[in-house]
Order: sequence, then structure tokens, then C-alpha cells
Amino acid sequence: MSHTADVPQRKPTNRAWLARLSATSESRVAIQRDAALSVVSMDLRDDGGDAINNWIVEAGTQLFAALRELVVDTAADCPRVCVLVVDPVTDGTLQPVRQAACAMVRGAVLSLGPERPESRLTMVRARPDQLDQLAATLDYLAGDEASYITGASLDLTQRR
Amino acid sequence: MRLLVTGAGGGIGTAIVAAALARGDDVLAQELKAPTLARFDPDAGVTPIIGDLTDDRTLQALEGGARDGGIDAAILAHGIQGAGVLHELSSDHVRAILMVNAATIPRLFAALAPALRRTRGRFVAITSQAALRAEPGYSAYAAAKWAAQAWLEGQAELEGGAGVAIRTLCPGRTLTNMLKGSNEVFAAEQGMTVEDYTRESLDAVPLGRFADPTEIAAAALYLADAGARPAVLAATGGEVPH
Repeated sequence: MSHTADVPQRKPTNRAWLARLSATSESRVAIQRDAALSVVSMDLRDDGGDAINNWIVEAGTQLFAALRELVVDTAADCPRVCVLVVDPVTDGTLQPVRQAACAMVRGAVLSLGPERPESRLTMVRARPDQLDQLAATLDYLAGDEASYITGASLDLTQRR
Repeated sequence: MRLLVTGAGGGIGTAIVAAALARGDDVLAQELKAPTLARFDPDAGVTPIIGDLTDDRTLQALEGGARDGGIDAAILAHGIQGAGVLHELSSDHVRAILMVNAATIPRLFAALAPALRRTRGRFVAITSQAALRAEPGYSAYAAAKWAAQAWLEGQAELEGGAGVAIRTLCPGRTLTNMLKGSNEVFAAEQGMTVEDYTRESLDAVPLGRFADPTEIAAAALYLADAGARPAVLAATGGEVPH
């Protein structure tokens, strides 16, 4: 059975930005626009700043602004947006703040999924060393097979 | 016992202060504006600290009050209302929700932990049932509460058994002005009267009623006391089992 009626399928554009993101945290919150799946990345690598302000208050505010742009202020019939959280998952005093930032994104995405059923909203949590393996997950979320997935959190940081 | 209570002039905070005074506790009470604390007689054991929790000067005043007088427990009862669908959430509103409902909690912990460590004290944060489930129509509020809850659980792990006891109270719909305000927002969004929306929202609560602030205050004081207590207590009338 096909579920493509309301989800135009497009091939994702190249994801050179993933390599850039892997190499350096240029910006804490960045938008990669793509007709098939736009990605909002949030970087939780330590840059020596005020983690509570940077990762919770400012990144959260930027996240909601990005979601308004990609989900509300768009002409797309079924916008697909994935929030990618890059989390080094370290021990130490910063980890509770990282856990808080991840939970903030999860709380937002899981709440907005059912609030905006015309869109597809997901969250992916990955470690920096996993970024070069993300294409499969992003391709899946961009494809027809994932048209039933929204308000979902995919945590890739659990080693198997 | 000496308690520090934030948001002491709010619906739940007022009930906590009243219940604490009734059982003989001393209270260091923070509130944004002085008039909301005026109902408490300083002779009854309330020391007021007036100021905004997003202002470092207020945190310093609380740190000094906790250090100088000592505290056995802190109860965080402050917060702002955060109802609103995505297209109505301005960046200023989102920032305020995240600052007050999430970022103030680790900052307060940093200010109060030295005093709490001296007394093997308790740090009790009142979050929300929105910290335990998704909340369509409430996404920024839920994001802040999920962040707060996760930070509290992460910090509790760091504290271990010998550090400050970190406990969380997750209340459901409680009869306060904040609930009234969010009911008005939701009723307007859905084109309903506040009365009709309130009746409908009551149907979501298995107990069929909202919590009274005195019930939430009793739960907060239970968590603030020494002894074996749960790390998380859901007081939701069964709406969000946890």
C-alpha cells in the first residue's frame, strides 16, 4: 500500500553540511533546508560558554524560530523536519545540561508532532563520531517508508 | 525546619508558605514583587526576598540568605504560564518560558547547594505533569519542563547518595491563577467559552476534579522533609500516571 498521496517524494540534496558539522561546530543551531527533509542541527559540544544559557535558553529559542519557519511559514503541503542533536555524551558536570537540552528538544518535537499533523517532525540524537553514518537515518526519514513517523525521537547514541 | 520557597506569592507557593508556617517552619520566601508576599506577617517567620530569579542579584540574595541563616530544604514553586500553539509563540515568549521554567533551576541549585550540603538538605523542584508527557498546544512549556526534569535527574545522579537530595514534584491541573490563564488561552484557541473548556478539561482527569493548591503544598512539604522519599512524585489525579 502506498502512502505517498500527501507526501511528495524528492531525492535529498547532497549532505556536505554533515561533513562540515562533523568537523566543527560552526553554529549551535543551524538550518539545512531540503525539499525532502530539512534538518535543524543543535550542537552540544563544549565551547567554553555558558551552557545553560547557550544550550537551553538561546538554542531553544532558535529551535522554535526555526520550526516556525520550516513548519508554519512554508508553502510545502507536508513539511518534513528533523531536529538533529549532536551530543558528545560525556560524564561530568555539563552532562545534566546536555541531558536537559536533549529533553527540551524531545519535549518540543513530541508535543508538536500531534499539534501539527500535516507535517512530519522527528528528532535524532547522535554523537559527533556518528555524523558520517547519519545518511541512512536521514534518507529513511525523508522517504515514503517514514510517512507514518512523526512526533518521534530516534536516539542513536546507545552503543550496541 | 528552615525552608526557602521560590514563587512564594503564586498559587502553589502561597499554599506552601502557609502550610510551612502552620507547622512551625521558618521560611525564606522569594517573589517577584512585594505585594504578593504582603499577606505573610514577618513576625510569623517569613523573611521575604523580592526580585526576579533571572537576575543574578536575586540569586545572590538567596544564596546569602541560605548561607547566613542556613536552610534545610529549598522548594522551587516559581514558573510562568506557557500555553500556545507553534504559530503563536513569539521568540520573546519562548525565551521567557525557557529562562524562567528551566534555566533558573540549575542556577538556583548552584546558588543554594553549598548551604544545602552543610545540612544534608533537600532541593525540591515543582515541575509539572507537562514534564512527563507530550503536550500539544503547550510545546514551549513542555520543552522547558522536560529540560528541567532531565537536568534534575542528571544532577541527582551526580550528587549521588552523599550529596543534596534532589526531588521533583509533578503537579497536574491545580486551581491557581496560572491554570485559569492557560484555560482562557486554550478556550480562545478552540472557540469555546472558558466554562465549557474547563468542563472538558475536567473530563481528562480521572479523579474528576482539579487539585487544590493545599494538596500540592502538602506533597511539596512531604518531599522537603528528611527521610526516604521518591525522586519523582506525580500529583496529577491520575491524568498522567508515573
